[in-house]
Amino acid sequence: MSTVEIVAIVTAAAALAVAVWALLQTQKTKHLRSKFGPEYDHVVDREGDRRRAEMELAHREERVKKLHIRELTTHERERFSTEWREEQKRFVDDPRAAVSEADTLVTEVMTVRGYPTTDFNTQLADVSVDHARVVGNYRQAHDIAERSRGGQASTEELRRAMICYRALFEDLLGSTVRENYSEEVRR
Amino acid sequence: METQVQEPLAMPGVVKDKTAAGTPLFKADELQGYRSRWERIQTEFVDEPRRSVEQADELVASVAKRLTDMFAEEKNKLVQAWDKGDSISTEDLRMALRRYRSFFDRLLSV
Repeated sequence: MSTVEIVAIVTAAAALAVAVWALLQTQKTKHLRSKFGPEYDHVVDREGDRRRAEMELAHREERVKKLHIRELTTHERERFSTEWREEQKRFVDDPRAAVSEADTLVTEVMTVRGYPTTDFNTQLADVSVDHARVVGNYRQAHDIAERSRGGQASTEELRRAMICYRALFEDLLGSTVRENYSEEVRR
Repeated sequence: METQVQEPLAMPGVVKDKTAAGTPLFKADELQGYRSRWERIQTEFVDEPRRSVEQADELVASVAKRLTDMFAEEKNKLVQAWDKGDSISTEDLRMALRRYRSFFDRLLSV
């Protein structure tokens, strides 16, 4: 083969490698975007760098893959649902305590399902892998709960925190906590 | 601006007089029905605070109406018997007075 031919082949191979690499990157982005939804955008904003954000998200996926996350049993689901309803009721008498208990309950469900109890940010990161759509709610609720500790949250904000916690809670449970009778009350 | 959280309220309707507490005004299943309705209202507050309060108002109004209807009925019976010149047993009158007192005590404890 002549030098020209060799150069042509090497160049073509290199171009192909680059194309394949670019395709893989696009697929990776597509996968992470689709899997993480709004959380993807949040992390990109926070990191200020798409590549770094994608590395962080991919790392999350890897980490959670190694955990043994299991579904709740029917009994556990019922128990948690009942406990949640108690907290919703308690809100009327003591909104701050209700929000604090809701936070604890959500963490308890995560632990029972197999997520390690670490710090809030790691827990949020872990849970975002399979529950990306509601993780924004978790973040919002937690913010309010923090401010509530300093006596800075209004009752309306605490109410919204409950609703946000419940969104994650229900996603973790794989079922809603409201019984059918709540429809009757509405009429 | 939204009001800050108030101190939790004490449970209303706690009657200190033992004798009055022993005179139930509602039958057990009726009482349970009212309590269940209240529980739902309280639980739903988080989702719809205003609707919750509206429903509480309706529930309280219907309980109050039920009570006043009950006492009106009671009073009618007594009045009819008196008008007819029937003698009502002292025991019946004693029970009637205890029911009145039960209601009276609860109203005063508010």
